[in-house]
Amino acid sequence: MTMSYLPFRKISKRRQEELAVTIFLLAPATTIMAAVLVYPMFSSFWISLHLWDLTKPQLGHPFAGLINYLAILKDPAFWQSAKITFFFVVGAVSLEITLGLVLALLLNRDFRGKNLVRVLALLPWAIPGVVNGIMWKWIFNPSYGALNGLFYSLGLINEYQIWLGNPKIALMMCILADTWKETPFIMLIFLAALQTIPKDLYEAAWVDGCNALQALFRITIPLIKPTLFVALSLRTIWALKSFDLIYTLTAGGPAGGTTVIGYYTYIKAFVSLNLGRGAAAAFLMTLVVIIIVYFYQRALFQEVQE
Amino acid sequence: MKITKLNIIFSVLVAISILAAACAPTATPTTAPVESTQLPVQATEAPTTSPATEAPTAEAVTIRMLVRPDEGGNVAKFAAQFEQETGIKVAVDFVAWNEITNKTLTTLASGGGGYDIVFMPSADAPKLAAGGWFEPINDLMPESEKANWLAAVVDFYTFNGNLLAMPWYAGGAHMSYNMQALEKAGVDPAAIITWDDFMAACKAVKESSATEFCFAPSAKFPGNFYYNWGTMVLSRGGDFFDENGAPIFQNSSAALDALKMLKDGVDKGYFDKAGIAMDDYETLIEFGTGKTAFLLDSTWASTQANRNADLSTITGKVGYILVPGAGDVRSAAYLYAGGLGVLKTSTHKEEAKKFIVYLTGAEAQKHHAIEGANMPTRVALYDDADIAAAWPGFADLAAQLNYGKFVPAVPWFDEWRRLAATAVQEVMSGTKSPEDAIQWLVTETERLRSQ
Repeated sequence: MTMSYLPFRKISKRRQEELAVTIFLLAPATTIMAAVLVYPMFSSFWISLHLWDLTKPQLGHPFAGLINYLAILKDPAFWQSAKITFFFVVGAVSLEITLGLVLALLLNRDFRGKNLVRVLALLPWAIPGVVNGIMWKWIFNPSYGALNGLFYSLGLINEYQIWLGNPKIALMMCILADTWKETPFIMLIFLAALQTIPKDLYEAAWVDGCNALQALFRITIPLIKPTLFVALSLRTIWALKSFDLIYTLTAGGPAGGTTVIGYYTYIKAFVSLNLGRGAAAAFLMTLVVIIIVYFYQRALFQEVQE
Repeated sequence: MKITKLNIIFSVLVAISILAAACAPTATPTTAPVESTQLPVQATEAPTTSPATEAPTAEAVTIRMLVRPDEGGNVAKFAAQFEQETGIKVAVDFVAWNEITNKTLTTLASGGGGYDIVFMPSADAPKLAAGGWFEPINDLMPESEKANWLAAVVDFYTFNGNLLAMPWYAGGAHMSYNMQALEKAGVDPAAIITWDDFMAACKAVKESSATEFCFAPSAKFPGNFYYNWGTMVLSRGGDFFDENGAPIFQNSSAALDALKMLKDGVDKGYFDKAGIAMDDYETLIEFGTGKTAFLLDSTWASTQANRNADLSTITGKVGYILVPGAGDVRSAAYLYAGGLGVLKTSTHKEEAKKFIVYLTGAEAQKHHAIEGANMPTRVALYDDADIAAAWPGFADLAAQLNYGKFVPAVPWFDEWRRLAATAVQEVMSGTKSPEDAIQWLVTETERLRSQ
C-alpha cells in the first residue's frame, strides 16, 4: 500500500515525539480553558433552550427550544435597549476614533516631555471600568459634582444641572465617560501605526505644495487604514458589551434611557432570575457581535488585499 | 525533541499540580466577630423559649446563616453569646443589601448552599415561600404565643397556614422633617394631615428659602416604591393589585394624583428634580445636609438622620409626623420586615431553630432596636422604657406601623418595582405625562404577569 491511499499522512517518529510533548504541555491549559470557557458557553446555550426561572422552581426546567429567543425578540424592552445600544456605540466609537487619531497625531510630534505626556495620556485606560463609573457619577453629581462646578465658574451655566436626570442627556454623559476611558487605547494603536509611516512621504508631499490637511487625508489616513479597521472593530465589540459603566453610573436609568443590551441581559438573568431568557439575550447579543466582526473582517481583508 | 523520562515526569507533575489547585476545597466561612459593646441594662422580659440555660452540646455543631448586613452588630453579638451558652457555633455570611436577593435565590436554587438559616426580607418573602425551600416552624410560635408578637408581621410570614420565618424586625416608611427649617418657614408640622397640607408647607418652605428644596422624591429603584410613589398611592387610599395580581391602580385616582403631585412639585421647584436618580440613601444624605425640609424614608434612615452625626448635620433636630393622607385615609405607609427561616435542606434543624428563637428573643430584639434602629416584632418591647430613652422619636415612628401595610405578595414584585420606578422617572423628567405613564405601566404589568 502506498502512502497516497492512507487517510493521514505518515509522520516521522521525531515529529510524533514533538507532538506528544506539545500535547502534554498544552493539556493543562487546554483543560482549564475548556472548563472556564467552552463548558460555560455550551452550558449557557443549553440553558437558553430551556424554561429556567429560579423564582418558579416548582415548574422545573422543561426544554423549550427557541421560545426564549422568540420571547426576547418580541419584548419591546429588548428593542428599546437595542436602539439605545446603537446610539451608544455609534456615539462612543465615533468620538473615540476621532479623538484618538487627533491625540496620536499630536503625540507623534517631537516636543520636550513627549514620553511623559504619552504616559499620562494612557492613565484613563488603566482605570477599572467600575471605578470609572463611580468616578464619573461623582463628577456628574447635581449638588457637588466637578462638572457643575467647572461650568458654573466659567459662566457656562447659571445653575447646577442634573446631568443624569434626563434620559437623553444621561446617555450622552455615559458616552462621555466611556470616551474618556477608552480613547487612550485608540490613541496608542494609532500612535504605533503613525510611527511606521516614512517621513520622506510627507517631505515629498510638502515639496509638491501639499498642506497639512491634504497630507492627513492623502497620506496618513490611507496608510493607517488597516489599523483604523482594527481599532474600529475592537471598540465596536467592546462598546456593544458595555455593562460596568452603565451599572455603576446610571443603573440603566433614568426611565430606562441608558439600558443597553448588556444591562438588559443582566436584568433578565440576575434580577428577574429568568436564566433561560437571560442566556437567550446574551446569545442574541453574541450573534450581533459575530455579524459585525464578520463584516469588519471582510472589509479589513479587502483593504489588506488592496 | 527527544522524549526523555524527565520530560514525561515533569509534564505529569505540572498537570497534577494544576488540577489539584483547581480541585482544592473552598475556604470555610468564618464565624462572625464578637461584638464588644454591651447593652446598658438587662432585658425586662424573659424570652418565651430560650436555650440560654441549656448545657453545651456534647458534639460541636456549626450552623450556617445567610443574612443581610449586620445593623448595630446585633447578629455578631448574639451569635457569639449563643455559642457561649449552648456550644453551638454559628457561622454567618453577611451579604450587601443590593445582593441579598440574588445571592439568596441562587443559593436556594442550587440546593441551599449548606446554609441552615436564611434571612427572608419581606420584599422577597412571596418569592421565597413559593420556592418551597423553607421548613414550617409553627412549633416555634404556638397559638398561645401569637399575642406577644406583631400580628401583621406574623401573618405576613405565614403561607398556607405555615409560619416560614420567625419575625425578626419591622419597619416602614416615615415622614421626617427638619425642625429648624419648618420653624423658619412658619410651618406647624402637626397641621400637616393631608398631602394638600404637605404641598402648602412646601410652598411656605420655598417662599421662605428655609431650605433649598422642600423634598427630594427617591425615584430610583428600589426606594421609589416604599419611600416615594408607592406609599403616596397607598396613603391616598389606592392599591396596586387585586387578589389575583391583576393591576387595579389605573382604576382609582390615587396613583394618578400621586404622579401629578410629583410632577407638580418638580415643576414648581418644591421637589428636587435630582431625585429622579436618587435612591433612598441619597435622599437621606440630602436631608441630613439640610438641603431638604422633609424626608420620606425607612425607619433606619429616619433614625440615622436624627442621631448619626456621620450621616447628618441636623442630629437632634429631626421630628416625625405620620405620612400625610387624603380623603378618608388618615395615613398609610408600606411596611417592611425581616424574618429568619430554616431551610428544609438543613442538617441541623433543631439547632437552627434554637438560634432563630434566640435571635428573635426579647433581649436580642431590644439590642437590635437600640443599636440597629430596627423596630421590634415583640409587642411588649413597644412599652420598653430603655428603648424609648435610647431612641428619640421611637414612639412617633412606632405610631406609623398602625397605619401600615405590607407590599403586594406577588412573585414578580421586584421586577415590577423597576417598571414602576421607570414610570415615575419618566413623569419627573417630563418624558411622559402621568396619564401615559399609568397606561404604560398597566401594559407592562400585564406583560409581566403573562410571562
